[in-house]
Amino acid sequence: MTPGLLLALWLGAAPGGRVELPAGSYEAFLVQQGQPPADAGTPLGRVRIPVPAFRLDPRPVTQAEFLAFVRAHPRWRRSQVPRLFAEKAYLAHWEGELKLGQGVGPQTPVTGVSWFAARAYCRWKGGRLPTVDEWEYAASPASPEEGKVNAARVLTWYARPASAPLPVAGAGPANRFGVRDLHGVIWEWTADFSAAMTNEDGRDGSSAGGALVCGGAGAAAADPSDYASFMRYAFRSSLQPTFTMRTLGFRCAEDATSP
Amino acid sequence: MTLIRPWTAALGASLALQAGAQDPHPHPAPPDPHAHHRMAKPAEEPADAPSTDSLYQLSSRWTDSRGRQLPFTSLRGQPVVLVMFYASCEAICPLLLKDAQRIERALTPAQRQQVRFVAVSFDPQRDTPARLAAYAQQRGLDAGRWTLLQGKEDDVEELAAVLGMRFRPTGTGDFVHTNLITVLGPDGVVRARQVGLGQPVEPAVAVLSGLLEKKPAR
Repeated sequence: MTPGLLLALWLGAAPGGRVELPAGSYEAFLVQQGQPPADAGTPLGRVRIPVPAFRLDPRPVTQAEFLAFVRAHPRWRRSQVPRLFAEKAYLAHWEGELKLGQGVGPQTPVTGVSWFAARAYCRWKGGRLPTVDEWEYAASPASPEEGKVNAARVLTWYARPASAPLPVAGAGPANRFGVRDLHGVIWEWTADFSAAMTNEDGRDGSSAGGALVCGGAGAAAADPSDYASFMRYAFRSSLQPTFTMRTLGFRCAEDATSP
Repeated sequence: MTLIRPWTAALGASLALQAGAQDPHPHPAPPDPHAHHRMAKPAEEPADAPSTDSLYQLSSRWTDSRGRQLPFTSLRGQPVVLVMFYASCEAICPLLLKDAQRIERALTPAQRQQVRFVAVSFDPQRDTPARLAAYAQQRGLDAGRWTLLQGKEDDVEELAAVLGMRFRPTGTGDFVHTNLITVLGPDGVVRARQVGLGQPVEPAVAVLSGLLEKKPAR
């Protein structure tokens, strides 16, 4: 390991410091309209989606960090947030409006926040939410073996009750990019979670829709056996931007400093 | 257009429920109880649930086709018929705007004068005020009643989210998007929405008539 790489990893682990992910691509679980057609070179006819370089928080945003945000921005306190931006359960697990209370570890990932709130937090921190493509790329395994480990971790997590206490953010192993906790800790908001669509602007949506529906996962999912990914895509598409859930948090991203 | 949602919604919703069941703060019902009907009728267009809260809590600022800056809240005080579109959309958006114009025509002349028609571009890169002005003229949108808006990408995304409108660039200059017409009350609360093209205008017209009878606050 070179000193430069060590330094990069150390910087990546520094609190608040985003890690830079080089431009790359990931194998899309779901093929979407506008994405390139299946490449015969990838197994199972999967599609590789190119992703430009960007920067990403190495771990989810914590309770303590979000508390600092609502302190600074009263509009995002649970008594003041408009219903337009968050449903009633927003931050309801906190003991008080500005108090985490018992059982809410300050260093654990914040959950119970809406897409609007997550977005506002990231803006406050000079960033934005990652796109689905960025998130999936960051979470994509470096090898088939790592993919299996990730999937196993996720499936174990799915089996755990949602009320189980969360581990400290960043406690999981770093992946090849120095990013942690993408699998098996919480669900995470993405900027364009609701944008998953198949068919280009056209009235003939029924044909593509029919194929999707009748073929089920087989038609659109690149590999239906990838159950963990399937659940993630399904979960995202079920969300509304005001939703708040005990298992749903976020991390922030920003454009790469160098192109 | 079609969303991926029909086939994932059922599973996604059950996930949300499962998480909610364990949750001290139960999660609201999944947004789409009719996912199965949609599967049977893919032509029926899914869209998300809109907010029940006033949209005039949005702090975004927009530019109209004359280059004037206006806050979103400046629409307050009269019923608004709102669509989101993009000018380079050749196949569908003209039909969507035609649908809104059908609503416009179905109102009485007196009613028409009290309703604002707003078309917001979700392609702010290309839809400059000049382009919006040309588009309005080309489509015969009455300059006295129609406002075409360009915004910042972030604000466009936020407005789409509160309306329950989905759009996604395809990477080829086009977008997939919900065809949605929203009727806002003078207070900014969503009073009616029409999803899909070529719907009957009567429901929207009835809501607008009702709003205009109750009015005028301002």
